[in-house]
Amino acid sequence: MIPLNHYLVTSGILFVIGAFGVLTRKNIILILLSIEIMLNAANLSFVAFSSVLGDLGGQVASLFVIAIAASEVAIGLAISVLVFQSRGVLDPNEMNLMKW
Amino acid sequence: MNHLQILLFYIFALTAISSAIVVVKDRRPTYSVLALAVVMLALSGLFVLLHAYFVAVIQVLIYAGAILVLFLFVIMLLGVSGMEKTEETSRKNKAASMAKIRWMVKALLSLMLLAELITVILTLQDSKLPQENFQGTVEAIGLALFTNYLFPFELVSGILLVGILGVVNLTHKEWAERS
Amino acid sequence: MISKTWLILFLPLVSFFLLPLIPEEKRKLGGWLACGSMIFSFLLTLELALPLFHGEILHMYHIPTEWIVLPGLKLEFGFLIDPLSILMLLVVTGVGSAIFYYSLEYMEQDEGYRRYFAGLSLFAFSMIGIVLSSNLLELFIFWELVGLSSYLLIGHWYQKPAAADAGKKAFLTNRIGDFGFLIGILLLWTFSSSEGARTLNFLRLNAILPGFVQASPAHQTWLTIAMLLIFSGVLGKSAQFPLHVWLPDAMEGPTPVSALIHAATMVAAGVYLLARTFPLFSLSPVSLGIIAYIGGFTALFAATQAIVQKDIKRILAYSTLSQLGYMVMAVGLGSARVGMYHLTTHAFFKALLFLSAGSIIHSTEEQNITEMGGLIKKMPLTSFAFLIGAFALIGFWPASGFFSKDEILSLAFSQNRILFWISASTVFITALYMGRTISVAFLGSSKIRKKLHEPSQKMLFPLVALSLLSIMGGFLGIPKLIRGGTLGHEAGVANSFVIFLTTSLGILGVLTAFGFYKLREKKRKRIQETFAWLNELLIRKYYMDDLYDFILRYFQQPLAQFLSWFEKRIIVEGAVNQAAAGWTAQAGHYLRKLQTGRIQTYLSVFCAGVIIIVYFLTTRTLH
Repeated sequence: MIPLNHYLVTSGILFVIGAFGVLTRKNIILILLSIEIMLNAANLSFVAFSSVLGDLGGQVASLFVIAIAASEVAIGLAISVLVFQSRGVLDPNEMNLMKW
Repeated sequence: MNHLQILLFYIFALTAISSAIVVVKDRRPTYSVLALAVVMLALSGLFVLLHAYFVAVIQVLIYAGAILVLFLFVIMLLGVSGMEKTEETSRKNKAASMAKIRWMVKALLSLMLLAELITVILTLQDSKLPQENFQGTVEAIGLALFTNYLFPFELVSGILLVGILGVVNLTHKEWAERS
Repeated sequence: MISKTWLILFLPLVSFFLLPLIPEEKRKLGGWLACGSMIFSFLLTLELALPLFHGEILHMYHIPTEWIVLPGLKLEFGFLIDPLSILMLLVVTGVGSAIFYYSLEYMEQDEGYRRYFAGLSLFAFSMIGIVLSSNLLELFIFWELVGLSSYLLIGHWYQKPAAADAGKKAFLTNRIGDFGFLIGILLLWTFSSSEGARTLNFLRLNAILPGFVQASPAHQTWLTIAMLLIFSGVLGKSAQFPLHVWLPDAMEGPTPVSALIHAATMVAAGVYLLARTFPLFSLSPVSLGIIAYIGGFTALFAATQAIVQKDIKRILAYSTLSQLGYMVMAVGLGSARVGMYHLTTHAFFKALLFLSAGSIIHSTEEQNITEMGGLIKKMPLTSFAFLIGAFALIGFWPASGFFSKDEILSLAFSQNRILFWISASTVFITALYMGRTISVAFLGSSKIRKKLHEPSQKMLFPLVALSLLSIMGGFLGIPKLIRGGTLGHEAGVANSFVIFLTTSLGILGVLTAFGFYKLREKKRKRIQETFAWLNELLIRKYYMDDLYDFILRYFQQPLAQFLSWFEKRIIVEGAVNQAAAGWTAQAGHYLRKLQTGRIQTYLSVFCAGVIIIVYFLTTRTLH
């Protein structure tokens, strides 16, 4: 049997990889992609705990996460497309209207 | 059984991690998306190991099957030129050294976060084991979903509706002009 | 009874506020308004004093109104009515009314008629306020107001540079004294804590401070310091050495002003303060000693300067300084009672002297006594009044001045021989300068060509009234009014030796003066030449004015300029402009750069924040 820790460590590593991708990538769409990695890592964590604690709530939660991720990706991509159409680039560094 | 499970775990886990690294590092967008698909499949395998059968299937069907496909569509829609240009212009940045430093900082932050997480996990959790009689079957999940978690379930439907409306509003030419 | 006290205090103030509303055509109405309110205050004071006249010792009414109430600070506004304040109030309102009435005619032709009466009313209000105050802070407020009124009134004819300067000199000199006064008040405030509360109320201070002093010898020293600081206020207001320099200059103001403020009442406020706080001064014999010596010294110092003055008002001014010295000395020797007695009689005869002088000035349009002469023939009534005043001043029996002055000298005789002989010398010199004045201005042949007239009813009546008081004052039993209480030694029967000495010195002084001026021209000139150096010294006021000028020019001005420069360059430009404003702008300039507008920057910071929070959350809860 595989101890819980193993799953949690895997989840953590995936999460950090995703975070690194969010911070580093120079393309809005790929940033969204990295966010997906992070969500997946969270899902893994949910399911692992659910299995260990015997509570189905974790798995139900991960289902919800998937559903919400779908919704979020849809809107996020829609916005990215619009931004691309008005700006011509998808570089997040170019989107600095909030600069002082 | 034991050894097989441990072996499978490591295969799936390591695949997931290395594919994730590819997602984050590769310059070609399509390759990133496909690598993410591999990550999801690997995770699905891990879910099965955790007896969460329904979630595993849903993960493949919806996450890998629909969401990632949507990503691919958008990437294709924007065209290779849209993608490559962004990656290359950033390489031609004048303040290349500044960019390097920034990258280092972010890498450092990520490593610190990782260290923290692992420390916390290893210190806090004693090694619990997954229970045997516990199965995440369709019936079980369905039961939970329609009794204990009915309200959140309905709310999530609402969110999906909002998502659909939002996207259509944003992108549909006539609708967008009207609003 | 209580509400009448409010009226006594505020009627003059009402008159002050109403006077500017009176148009030029109806100016006389303004005068009557001011005069009327003062007379009314006087009548109310008489009514208040009735029990005292019947021999009852008045209980001390105390009507505090809470004015400022903060934690740890409670200031009240109230009236303290006891024999002392009633006596002073009678003097202020009584003599004040007489002088107001006199002014109706004296200032008739003056341009600033209404302004004059407004100023006079303000003064009356402030002076009455001082007398009625129940605590030191209230008194200080009125004290300052009185200083202001004095400034306004001295500078009544402000177009005349000398008058404007005199007003400034008076106010500034007073200010110096008041600075010390204020510090003294603050010190007493800190000493007065009892049951956690602090007070400036006179009655409570009298009760609390003895305990304070007994607590430790260091406290005794502190109290002495505080009381000496309070005395510095007296130095300013009552023009004692070295803050006496403003009083002679103050004669630039109208004569009734000189009579009221600079003879009878305001300058006496210092003595009143000493009497009011006498229980506190008694706790510090050292301070009393210093007070006595300053008083005695001032008395002699001023009297000597009076001998060489040519302006009749200045003679009277120096005389006032000298008599104030007597009063202060009396307090210092341990009897505020005797000091107050002299204050009262002095108010009578000094006001009389000034008003007679005013009458002379009004009709001769001349102030220099060497330009007068033979007034006794030309203005017999006025001269007679003046003579009565002089008689009282020198201290001949049966005039009031005799009684009060001899009390002071007897006190000195029994307490401090040095001061006694100084005072005796002063008696001689007083007689000398009054004799001189009479000789030069009233006797002999007249240098004035024009026809002189006696004053008319309005000016005459106060002269008569004050003459009567100056003569009868000794028989009114004033010391009996203020017997009991905390005013020091009782006024006893004077020492016969003292009586003999003072009377002889008085006669001697007058005769010397008469004799001198009877001498032939040549002899006189020779004596004058021999003493020319002395003359110079005295006329130059012992070079006091020069000394002050030197100090101001070479110490105070450079210091003021340095401080001004400091404030301008270093504080305003440096600290505020440069530091505060400049650095803030700089900081802003740099901090602005944090707002890059880039998501990934913000996310990195976010991530760092998460790391820190997780760190703190986990390291705090791990056991």
